[in-house]
Amino acid sequence: MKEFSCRIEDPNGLHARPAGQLATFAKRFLSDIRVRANGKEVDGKRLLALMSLGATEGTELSFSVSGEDEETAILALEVYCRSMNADAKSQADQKDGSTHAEP
Amino acid sequence: MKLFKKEKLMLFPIDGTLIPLSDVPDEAFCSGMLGIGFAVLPTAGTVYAPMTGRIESVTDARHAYTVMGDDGTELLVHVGIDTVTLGGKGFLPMVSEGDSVKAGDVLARVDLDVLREASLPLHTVVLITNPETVSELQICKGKGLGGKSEAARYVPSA
Repeated sequence: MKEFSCRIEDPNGLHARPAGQLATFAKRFLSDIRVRANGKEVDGKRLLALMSLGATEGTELSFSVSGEDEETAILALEVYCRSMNADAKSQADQKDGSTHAEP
Repeated sequence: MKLFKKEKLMLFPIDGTLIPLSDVPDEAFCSGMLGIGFAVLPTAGTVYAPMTGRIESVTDARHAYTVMGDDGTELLVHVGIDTVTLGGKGFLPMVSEGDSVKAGDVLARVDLDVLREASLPLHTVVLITNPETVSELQICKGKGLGGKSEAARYVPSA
């Protein structure tokens, strides 16, 4: 079994779109992917289950991956979560107007 | 229309006009990546359960409701586009996590003017998020009443 954690940085939390995208990504792997947060543990391949975690900005998600492709899956999920956080941050910054494109 | 034995119905989640998912102004929904289903462009502010089941979650921003159907179908009812950004403003949930609901029960009351003022699209999306459990999905056309009119029918494959 492989494990890692990641903190949600999206100001809107793990809402429908990111939860669905994460579930879709997790489905690529054969391994069992469990996600824990707020004292609840769910199947990381199900959108509804991920949404039911009620993960908001700052919530720590703990992933446990077990199965034949667990090595690949855990590395990929870690990159995926970092990129998801970076996207959320960049979108929030643009909304604040703190990012300006210069000609 | 007569139902075949195994066919199940989904009701309008809100009064309005049915819109294909492909016409919803949100890439995640219209691409079908999050699941299969339909959308309604609403004309009123009461959100109803499209099917019988249990409330799996109500999001913090109160704009999305998930229902675990009695037949194993997982449903997401998402009111408006990018409405997570409202942080709950304009939404009044009438159910909470764990509640049992019947098709047509009220899930929430919504002030659509709050969405309009924030220039957010009103499209209310109903998605089956585990499409592998459904073998056929037929979407109706036209206008209907939330919690009363048939919006779609499907055959659970389980």
